[in-house]
Amino acid sequence: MRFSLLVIVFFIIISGISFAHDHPTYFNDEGEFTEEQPSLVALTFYWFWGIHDRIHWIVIILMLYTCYHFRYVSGKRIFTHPKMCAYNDKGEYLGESKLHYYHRYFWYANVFLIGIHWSEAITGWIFGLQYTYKFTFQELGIFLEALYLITFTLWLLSCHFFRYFTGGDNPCLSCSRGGWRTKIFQKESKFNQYHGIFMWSAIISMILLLLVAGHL
Amino acid sequence: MKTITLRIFRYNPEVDSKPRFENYDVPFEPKMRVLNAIRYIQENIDGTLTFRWNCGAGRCGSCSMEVNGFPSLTCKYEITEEMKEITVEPMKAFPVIKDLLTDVSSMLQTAREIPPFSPQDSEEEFWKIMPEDVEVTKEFRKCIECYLCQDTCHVIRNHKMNYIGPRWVAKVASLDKHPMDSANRSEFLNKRGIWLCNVTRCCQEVCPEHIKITENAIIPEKERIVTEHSPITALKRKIFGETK
Repeated sequence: MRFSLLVIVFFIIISGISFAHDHPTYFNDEGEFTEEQPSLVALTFYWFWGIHDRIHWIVIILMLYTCYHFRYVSGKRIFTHPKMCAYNDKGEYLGESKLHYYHRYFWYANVFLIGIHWSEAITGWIFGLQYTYKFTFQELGIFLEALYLITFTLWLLSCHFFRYFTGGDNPCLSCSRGGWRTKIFQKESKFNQYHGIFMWSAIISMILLLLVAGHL
Repeated sequence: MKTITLRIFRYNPEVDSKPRFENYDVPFEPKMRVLNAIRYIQENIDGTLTFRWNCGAGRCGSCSMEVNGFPSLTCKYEITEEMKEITVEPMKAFPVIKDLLTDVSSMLQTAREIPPFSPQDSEEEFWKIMPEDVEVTKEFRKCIECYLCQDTCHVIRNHKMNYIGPRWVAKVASLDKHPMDSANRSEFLNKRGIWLCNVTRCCQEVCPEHIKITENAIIPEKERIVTEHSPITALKRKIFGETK
């Protein structure tokens, strides 16, 4: 409860910062720069965009931190806790924190954000409009953007929570008409086996994309 | 004749002040298992060596011990020609009764604590359960209760925390996934420290029946608890009433 309150407060603060700093620049009918109060629709749109810009990386990092595969890798391989199976480790126990409860909410947020990115990218590819990222090498950038979108989407779709959502929560898979739920759950279970590969590919492609775009 | 040396843990609490290791030379035979070597020692060298075994075929789960520091079923652990010395110890997560024999009675106590199978009220004479629903729980019913997963789990083995352990989470998952069950075991698992598991997957690495304990039992059960506490479920309960 306390954590949820903190998250809400955090989002309110971020929203405030976004609202205060992300003034859109406007041009009047004569093409002259103006700082007049924009319309409510434009203001809402920009306000949302400002939040999106700022929370995007936080949401990705939180989803990564609470990801089951990342927990496995960080616990066993990075922090060596334990060093190996059946190892007589006597150090302090580093269990899971309550933040791990919220994995699904970070997942929801990332699904929303990746939807925005797909729409941005497709619009860019089809209509040649301005890209979100300012690429140093445009072709490489387009390739990496596509790679990032695909791998990130695969990471989301192979998530353990999504697997649970498709059938792990349902003790009667056959109750669905035509057994479609069984088929989806079985396919999702196979897909879930590659969750780790998708996670690393998404992270690597994301870092490469940021490097090429000059953000890192 | 080629021999192999077995370094065996020996401890009799009634006589010994502390445990010790003793070496025994055993003649090597191709396809020999560790259990065969231990039985050879008991039958030909030292009749006081105590250990538990039953079927010798990997079906009963009685001969669980630690071979070269790793939890294993001794009846399935093959001795190869390259091996010169093999260390055999009792399971470290359980108290030692004598030598390689451990006291696993606490597991029976834990089994009794689990909310039992509670069938829904049904007017039908026979339950109709489809094969795909049986398939989901079948995996957990392969468990031979060797307790190797409990032994390798570092939460229990090293940190002695109030965690129910992988074997019993699998048991709960098998009950929860039964189509006719109506009990809610989320609160029980929450109290018995399911969140202490930090998904190292060691339990499924040692499982002789290759049950995917972490993937198919622990993670779905954690997700079930989160669902129980989610605001969406609370809203659903308000609208539709109590559901499993």
